[in-house]
Amino acid sequence: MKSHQFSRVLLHTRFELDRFERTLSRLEAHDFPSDVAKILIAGQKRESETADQSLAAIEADYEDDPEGASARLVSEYRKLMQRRRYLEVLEKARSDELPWSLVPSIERLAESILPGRRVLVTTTPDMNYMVSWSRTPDQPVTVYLPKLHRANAFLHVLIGHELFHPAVDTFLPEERIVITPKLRDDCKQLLVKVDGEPDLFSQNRLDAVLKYALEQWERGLTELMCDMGAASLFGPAALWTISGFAASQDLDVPPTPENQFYPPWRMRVKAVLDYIVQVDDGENLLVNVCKSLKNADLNDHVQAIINSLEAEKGICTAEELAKHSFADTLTIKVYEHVGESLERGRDFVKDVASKIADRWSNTFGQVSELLKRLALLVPPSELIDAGKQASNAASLSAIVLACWIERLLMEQNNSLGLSEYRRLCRLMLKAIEDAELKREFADRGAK
Amino acid sequence: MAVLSQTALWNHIHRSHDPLVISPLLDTEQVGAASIDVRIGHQFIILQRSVVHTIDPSDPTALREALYRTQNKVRIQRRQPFVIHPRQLVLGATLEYVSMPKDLAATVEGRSSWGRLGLIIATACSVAPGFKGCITLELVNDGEVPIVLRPGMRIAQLVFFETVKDADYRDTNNDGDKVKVKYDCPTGPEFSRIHQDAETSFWC
Repeated sequence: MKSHQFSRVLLHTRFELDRFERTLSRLEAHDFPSDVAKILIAGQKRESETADQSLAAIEADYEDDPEGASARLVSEYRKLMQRRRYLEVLEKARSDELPWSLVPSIERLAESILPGRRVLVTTTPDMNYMVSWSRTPDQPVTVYLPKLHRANAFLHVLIGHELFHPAVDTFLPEERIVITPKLRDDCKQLLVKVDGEPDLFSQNRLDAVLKYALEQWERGLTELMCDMGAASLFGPAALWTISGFAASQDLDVPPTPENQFYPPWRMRVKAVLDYIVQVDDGENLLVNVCKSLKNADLNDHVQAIINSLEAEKGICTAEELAKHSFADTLTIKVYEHVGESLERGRDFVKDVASKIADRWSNTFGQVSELLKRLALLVPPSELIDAGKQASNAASLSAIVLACWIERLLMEQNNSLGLSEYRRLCRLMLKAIEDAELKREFADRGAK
Repeated sequence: MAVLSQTALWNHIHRSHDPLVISPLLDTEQVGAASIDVRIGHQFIILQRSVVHTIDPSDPTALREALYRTQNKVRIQRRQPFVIHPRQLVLGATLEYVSMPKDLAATVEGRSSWGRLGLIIATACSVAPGFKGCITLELVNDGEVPIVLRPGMRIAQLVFFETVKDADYRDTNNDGDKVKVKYDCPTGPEFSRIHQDAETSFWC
């Protein structure tokens, strides 16, 4: 790089770094729903100081080593551009952008699923829930909630799915070692049928097809495992949420590069349903949920649960599932391997879930009492023990389940209009926030 | 008209039919000798004087627009300060969600400790039987120096009275029609809905 070019790039980089630092200072003055964003901002500020020092050193070195200094300058500029993207993520993590009531609960949940990882909750203009993470443990996991769904409390159950993504990522490498040779054989057979004896061109083609198949396998397996993760946390509430989210889309779109190989929704609903019923003694749990509601004279709610589960089973019958029969042989083969991996994946999810105290199989006993609070139009955040003055905080999974069961009853009675739905969302968010606060307040002596 | 004392308050909280709910009740000591302490919540509505010249209820559309333009909702984190300057009006809400039984009414009283600093709390201070929600508090600093509030601080107290007959804020009107409640289970401070008053068109 010539001297005048070097000066221009250096000034340009300093200008951008200055703007970056000013934006960080502005963001620092804003309110965030937890300390995580502020910690990350402080980290970014430290990185900026380091970048500032690097630029000074690069400038000093230019005279002795123009080529080396130029290369380092370009590298600093690129690093800064990468970091600038993160500013938007922090910007959208402010209290006035987020459903802040949920953030402390999401962070606590994440501590169980992703121990030691810092989780930043932010929003996205997209209509999808997303998560991004780095394999470096000191880097934060970022959970994106659709901005438009901010107040739609029921949909936020899908965060359970997102939190499982980084966890499932640790399961994949070993599984890939098992599956890759099998998929390679399948791909080979398919290509031999088309091309005859393999040559160099066929070998390249085999690699390309295998890459395609592995991508499809990984996406299918990951999504189904994360759905199971959500089910292990929230039980049938995850089923109702995923099914509800899917209802606005075609349930039978096959996995293709255009849809980033997402498995068909109907298959996902079936996987969640099977997980709830078959794993972790789910069927017995559901029977026990219904029993405890019956004991509390909440028979209509029991009927609403039964009707709803029947309806969900209705969209997963063999006949309905046949609608997404895959037309191409490769996808059929890939999904045979997804099925094989899922056998082990199920155990992995079960193991991760077993470390989460606040999962539905541990907390469903709270639901009947919370439903009584909802009947009074009160946020279901507390468990009152008759005769005792002090009350306990309800668990997140029980609050979510209670709100969903109340919703099912209202749907069944045709009494869930827009204002009632808004109210139910408000009560759910307030309950989640209050329960977390109550827990923290109760623990204050212990800390 | 008798004020409910501590034992009566706990009885109302623990009864199975139509209980009094104060949620979350973080500390049982909030239930005092003849009142229940309530805390300031995390949300505030700040009024911005610079964006409109008047607030006039005579034109519902203009009024609604003026209210939305003047009122800005903010959320303050725990341990963070919220400063009310002298002569400033802000709307806050109780942290506690209140569900009033049909046989009780209540008044919101400022705590004298805050009053001595100049903070006036809740000018519209009655809570109707059957009301459900966080109670919006109109906070005015009538003192000479700025006052710092932090979410969760005990700011007011509710004093309860038994009603002669059951009544319900959410109930049907005299014609048996379902009344559309103006403030339906709010979980934070609510913007004024004065434009929804049925009589406004007659008087304005």
